[in-house]
Amino acid sequence: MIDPLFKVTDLDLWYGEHQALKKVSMEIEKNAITAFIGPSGCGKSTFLRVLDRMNDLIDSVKIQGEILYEGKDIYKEMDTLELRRRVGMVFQKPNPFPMTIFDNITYGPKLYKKYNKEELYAIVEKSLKQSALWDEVKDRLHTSALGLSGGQQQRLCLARTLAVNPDVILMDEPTSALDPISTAKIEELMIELKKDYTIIVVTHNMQQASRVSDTTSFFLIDDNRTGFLVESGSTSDIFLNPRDKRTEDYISGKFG
Amino acid sequence: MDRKKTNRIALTIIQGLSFLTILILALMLTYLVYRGLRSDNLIQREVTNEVNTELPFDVYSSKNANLEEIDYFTLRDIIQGRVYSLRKVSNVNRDINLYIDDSLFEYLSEYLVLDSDEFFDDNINSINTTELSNNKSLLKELRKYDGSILIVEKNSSISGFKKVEVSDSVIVVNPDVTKIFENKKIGNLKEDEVDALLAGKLSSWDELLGPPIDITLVSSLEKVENTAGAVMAVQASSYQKAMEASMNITSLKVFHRQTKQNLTWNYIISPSEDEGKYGGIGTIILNTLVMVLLTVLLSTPISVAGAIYLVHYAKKGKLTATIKTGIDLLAAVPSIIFGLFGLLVFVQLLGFSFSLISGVLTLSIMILPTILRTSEEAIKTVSPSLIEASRGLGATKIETIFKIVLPSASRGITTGIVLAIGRAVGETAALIFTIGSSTAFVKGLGSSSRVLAQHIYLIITEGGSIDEAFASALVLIVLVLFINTITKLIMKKEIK
Repeated sequence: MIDPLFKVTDLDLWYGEHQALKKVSMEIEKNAITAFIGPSGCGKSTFLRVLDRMNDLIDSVKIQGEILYEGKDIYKEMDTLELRRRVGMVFQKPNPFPMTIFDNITYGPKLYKKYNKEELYAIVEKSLKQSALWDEVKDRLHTSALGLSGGQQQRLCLARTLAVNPDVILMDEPTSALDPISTAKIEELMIELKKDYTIIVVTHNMQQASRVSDTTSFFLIDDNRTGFLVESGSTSDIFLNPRDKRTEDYISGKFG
Repeated sequence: MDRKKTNRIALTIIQGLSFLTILILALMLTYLVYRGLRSDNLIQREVTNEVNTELPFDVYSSKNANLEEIDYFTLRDIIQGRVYSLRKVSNVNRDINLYIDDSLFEYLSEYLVLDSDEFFDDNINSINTTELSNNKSLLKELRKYDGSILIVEKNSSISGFKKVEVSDSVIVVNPDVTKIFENKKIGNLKEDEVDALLAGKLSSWDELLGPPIDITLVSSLEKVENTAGAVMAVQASSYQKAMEASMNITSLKVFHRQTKQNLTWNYIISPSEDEGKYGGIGTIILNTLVMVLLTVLLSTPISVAGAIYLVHYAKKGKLTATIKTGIDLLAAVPSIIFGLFGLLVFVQLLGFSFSLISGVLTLSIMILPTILRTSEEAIKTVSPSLIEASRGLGATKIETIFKIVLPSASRGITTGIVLAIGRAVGETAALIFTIGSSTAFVKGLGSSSRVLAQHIYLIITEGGSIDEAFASALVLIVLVLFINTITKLIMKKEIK
């Protein structure tokens, strides 16, 4: 087996006094889609946000444990900004900046380097093509991104993430605010992008997890409202032969 | 059924109240604009309002002389040199330069009952009407000087001046009429009273608060002298002659309602003279703009930075809460207290004296809480998901604040700035103690200056003309509108 991209060992996370994650250990493969499933509040989004240190934005968060990205501890050996460039994130609700489509996509690249106009246009075209939005918006790159439909906005957010050339794309329930057609488009894109990127997706939608992911991790919550990892494995194993009784109950819809 | 009724009643009340509000505002605005554009004064004169159109001469004044009508006695005083400046005539600070057609001296001497040596030669230039109307350069020169008054032949082709109407009809009465009777005395007549009196509609003087003598309309001055209760309207020159012949007659004064254009372009652009007594408000408008610009430039960065700190950096705790309460308190402090503070600290302690910089610093502190609080609210409402998206792309906190938060909040921040400008432009109390009152254009931060709102205050307190106060007020309103529009436009451009 090749070296995992992320290797998390015994991760504990607190919001103030409240422990939100307990002893999570996991390995995440490169160029695959990993899905996190579990009931609401089980900490799967929180765990996702650990991977690009987005939890740092909240003052009261305290983290213990080791998270290695390509063998380097992300809290001790890596620069946060560099980590966030390499590990991009697409959020639950489409959140384009209130600027033009063009400015939305060039926002990220311009943070790191000065580009001339042609280079910027090349980046915009490439990212929009990758997110299958190019044909729809190529004639109105300089109009406000807020004029796009929800599904288009979410693909724009994906393009914005792709524009900084990341290795990993974290997706936090990326289709929960979208209609079925837009959802199908995003799912198609995820499979398409798998070749070049590692994708980690949090989802509430069992079918989505089984349709797109290669690996699935199942999170659950205990009586103290602390999330923990129940099991992790290839998607077919988790859905067809779960080792844990609780996984089977959840997948078959007995709770959650 | 009952609920529908209450609904209807409530709706009617709300509609009524809103209409009332709109009506009050509209009335006030209309009145301000009307008084700003037209002056409307009641003055008392010795002549009636009837204009004499049959005189063989025309009187012209320069367009900026603010003179539309002149009465016989004022004209006489001007030619005699008793009135040598337009100050008393039309509140314009210019000495009068008279230009009289040489063929008219004889007639004027007869008409004004003046010997030729009573003409005030120092101020009188004799001209020829036809020559003057052909002498373009001289005409131009005369037009340029606000104090020029021309008395020329009738129907001459002189353009570029304002025609001044002459009224010279005097109401002459027998002296008995003006005697005190039962503690009452006939006062100044109103226009409609003059009309009724001369049309014979009144029968006794006591209808005009005079003695109970019958009114008799007569046709010669001798009859006025000899008949009790006699009255007649005569041309002022006859009255003047009769007075010089010591006839026993007297005249009744008449109220004259003088309406004319109030706010003129000339008033807006010309500099102030004699510490704001005369002249325009051009320099004062410029001072106002400079003051507001400096205040906003000084105050905005500080308050926006403060707002950013409070929202994105300050730890939530007792200290932050105390600071916020303090800011709210400052926003509610009356401006006169800021004025006192400015007087003690900037003017005296720091020795800036009464100067632009003292005023600007005081006002900056005064508008700081306004901008800070509105900016804070605007910054707070920027969606956290946008901030996350920016940070997720690897932007630092400060990059996110400048590139995402501030542009998104700019509308709210603009509102704060516009509110603050409104407060700064209209401020008087905080400035009378700090900025001084010089009407000249400021030469630097250290020089004393005067702004519009303060000018209005000073006009009223120093007994200046109400008309001027209204004209300045109208300019101030338009100025505020103008500055607000500009601010919004600038901010809109920045969002793009």
